[in-house]
Amino acid sequence: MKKNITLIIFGVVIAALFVLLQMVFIVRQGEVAVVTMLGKPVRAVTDAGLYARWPWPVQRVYPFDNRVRTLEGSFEETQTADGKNVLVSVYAGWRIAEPVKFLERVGTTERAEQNLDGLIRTYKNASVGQLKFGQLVNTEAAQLKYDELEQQLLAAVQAPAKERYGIELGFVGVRRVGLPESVTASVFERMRAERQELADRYKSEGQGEAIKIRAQADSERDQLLAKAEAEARKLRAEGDAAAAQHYQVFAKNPELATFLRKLEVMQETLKEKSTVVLSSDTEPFDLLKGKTRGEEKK
Amino acid sequence: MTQNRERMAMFAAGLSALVALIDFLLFRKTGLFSVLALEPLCALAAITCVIACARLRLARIAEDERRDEALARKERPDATLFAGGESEPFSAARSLEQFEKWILPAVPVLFALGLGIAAAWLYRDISRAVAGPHDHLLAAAFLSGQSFFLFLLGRLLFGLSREDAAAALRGAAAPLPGPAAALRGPGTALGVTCFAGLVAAVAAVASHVGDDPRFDRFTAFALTAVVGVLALEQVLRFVIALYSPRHRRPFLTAYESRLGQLVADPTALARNFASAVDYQFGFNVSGSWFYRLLRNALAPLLIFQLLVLWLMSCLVFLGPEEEGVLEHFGRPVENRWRLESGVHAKLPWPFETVQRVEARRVLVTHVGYETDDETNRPSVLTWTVPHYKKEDMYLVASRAPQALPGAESADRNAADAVAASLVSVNIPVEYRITNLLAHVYGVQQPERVLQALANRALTRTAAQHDLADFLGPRRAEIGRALQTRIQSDANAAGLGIEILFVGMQGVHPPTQVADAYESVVGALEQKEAAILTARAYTNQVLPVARANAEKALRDAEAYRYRRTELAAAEVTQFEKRLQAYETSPQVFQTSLYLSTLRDALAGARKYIVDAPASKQVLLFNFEEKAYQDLLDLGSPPATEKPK
Repeated sequence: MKKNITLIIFGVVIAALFVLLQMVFIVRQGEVAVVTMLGKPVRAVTDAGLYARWPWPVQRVYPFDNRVRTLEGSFEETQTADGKNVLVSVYAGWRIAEPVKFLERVGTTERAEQNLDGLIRTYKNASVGQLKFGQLVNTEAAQLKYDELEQQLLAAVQAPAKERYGIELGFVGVRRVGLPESVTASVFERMRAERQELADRYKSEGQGEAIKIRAQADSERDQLLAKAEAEARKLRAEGDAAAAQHYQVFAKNPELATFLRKLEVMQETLKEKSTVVLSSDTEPFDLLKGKTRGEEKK
Repeated sequence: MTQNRERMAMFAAGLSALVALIDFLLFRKTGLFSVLALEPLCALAAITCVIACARLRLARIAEDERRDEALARKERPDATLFAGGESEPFSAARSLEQFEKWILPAVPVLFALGLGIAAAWLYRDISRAVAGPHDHLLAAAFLSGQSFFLFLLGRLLFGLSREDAAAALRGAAAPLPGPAAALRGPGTALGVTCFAGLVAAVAAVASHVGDDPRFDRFTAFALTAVVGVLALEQVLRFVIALYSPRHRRPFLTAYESRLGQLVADPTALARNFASAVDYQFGFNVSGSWFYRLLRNALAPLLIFQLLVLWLMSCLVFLGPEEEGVLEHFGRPVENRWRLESGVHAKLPWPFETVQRVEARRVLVTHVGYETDDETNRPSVLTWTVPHYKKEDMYLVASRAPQALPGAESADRNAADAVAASLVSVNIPVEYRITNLLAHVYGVQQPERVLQALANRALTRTAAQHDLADFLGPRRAEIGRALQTRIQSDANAAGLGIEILFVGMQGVHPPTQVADAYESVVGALEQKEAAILTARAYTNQVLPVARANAEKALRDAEAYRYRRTELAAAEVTQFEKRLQAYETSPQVFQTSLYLSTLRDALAGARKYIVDAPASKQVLLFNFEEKAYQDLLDLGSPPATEKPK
């Protein structure tokens, strides 16, 4: 019996807890709760705290996160005013401004983001289409028009979002700008070609320098050699001239000079191992003939 | 009376089959998976009832036969020649024996197989489900109704199963469970089905109220798990009973499940547990005061434990990197909402809760790249190798290149083309949370907002600089400007953070064109190499030329000197000889001639020929040598002309 009482008390406590859970609800800071009575929205509670309610199915509570939420748009291709295709992705910060309208028109955060995404995309393409590419990418910062684009987009989207979905847009920003694949490929080509041009320029500069240096070296060498040759010739000529001057003395007795010269030549040309055939008339070998004749003469 | 039991069993089987059919139709209509998960349990109950009915029938017929036989033997003793023989081969007793020996042991295995296959099938179906359920309340109503009926039937069958035991206690000695105990199995199965039906009904209602099909799916998975566990239990039971020495007839009931009994007949479980403990320990444990104390204290202990668990949410432990925001019914408590790291006391959930924030830690968000685990990074980061798993490319402006002469046509094409380049930037943004309240209650997912802001700042910064600025010495300056811009944007968005550091690391042209950049450096090297080679040539050629020039000059000087000196010497010699000649010309000439001849002809081979004026022809053969000399080694080498 005691066990039964304990069990019964336990069961009653659990049941009471269940009922209590259905009789109160808590709204946290940064949340907003919409209370519906038999399906019809009655009030929106924004202040945090504990509140009383009727259990389901009399009243039902829908909590929403009331803080600013960021919607990330997709990286979508549009065309600028001068016909260039760019990819632009945009993000937007939104929060629920009118909870009752939000519950009625939208209901969930996912659906809200879908609707907002569609809304933003419509205006985004139009806004980007009014800008030229040079206003998106330019070395002069003053030419860039990102601020105007964002403000224009925000102004365009704010009113429909509020009126249609009860959503308030806090900010809109351009997250990234890119180029589609095909254009990317050609931009790569251009970057590569620019670098290639630079590389080729360096290479040919080097080659030109090298040729110049070589030519200079060659010409210097030729100059040196030519100058030296000229000098040498001059010196040799001086030598010959000096010699020629001296040789005037041979004019005193040219026959003797010739004879002496012949002797010199003979001495130099008759070397070892040369074979000489002499007639017995040649001096001094004529003595040989003369000796026999001498005997005969006797 | 016994026929009554059979009829109840068949009725229960019929009802279970009907419930199975209804559940199937319900599943088709509503799409609730927890209803589908009830099917194997209903089937189990139906089959168990049929088997129990068959067994009861066999038992009854065997009992009748035995009674008839005993009666017949009493009337006519020794009627047959062969008394005390075996009973007829096709008697019901024999059938019962065969039934108990062969069919009943096979049944748990079959159940295990069937339940296992059903569980696997269910799991696959539920995992693959796409559409959401509807008409929950209808299903809940049906399920509650059938659970009620099944509950009644289950209790009835349990009651019937205890009849024989009661009768046995009244009269007989050994309390062997009678054949009616076979009804325990169906009772258990029905109890389990009833409980599962109730759970499914609750899940359906929860799905409807919470508008979340995940309740239903979760319950369906749980029920599938239960079916799987029951299958395992049957296998276990089969194995244990096979080796158990205790029961003479181990497979008394077709379906016996301890887990099922936990749900269907808890008191019986308690009783069985007590008797099992008694058996194990060998003495009457269940009668002792300690056991009874424990049994009485069990429930309060559990409650106490739950209470303590709940009260443990009074304590909050915040780590060294964390700070907390104390909320009272969802609203930050005034003046004392900030909790530092350490331990804090608060009211239990849901009265007070704490939001934890990593406010002391330096947090990082990555812009322009996605990191993966560090082990995959290449050890040498060159521009041609991607540094990270995924790197985004940003548009940078490009200044018009320096116009080379003769490149006007190229410039015109460039104006038509896109005047931008692409760069890959890896920027980690390090930040710290400074304003807790703004961070927690201002924005949802502040990291995402920060990343969007950082990307935006980077896009703008990149769009107004040239690639060379990014790669070159202005990089640090750009990084600082980026940091300032991100900080002001974050303040404007109310994020409550302070940007500590924006790192401009990993700025490089896209990997697809990086090799072109590297080849420029290679070209510079080649230029230098060509120039140096030419200089080497110069260094090689000029000194040689200078040396040759010197040599020529020296040669010429030597020649001049020689000529001059020689000429002077010759002239002196000639003048002396002239003097001698003028003294006596003939003698001088002859003596000089003869001495010269002597010197000249000394080494020559001489042939002196008498030359009369005749017509004799002399033949000289100079090919043969006149005399063989040991040192005749051929013609002598050419010697220098003495000067």
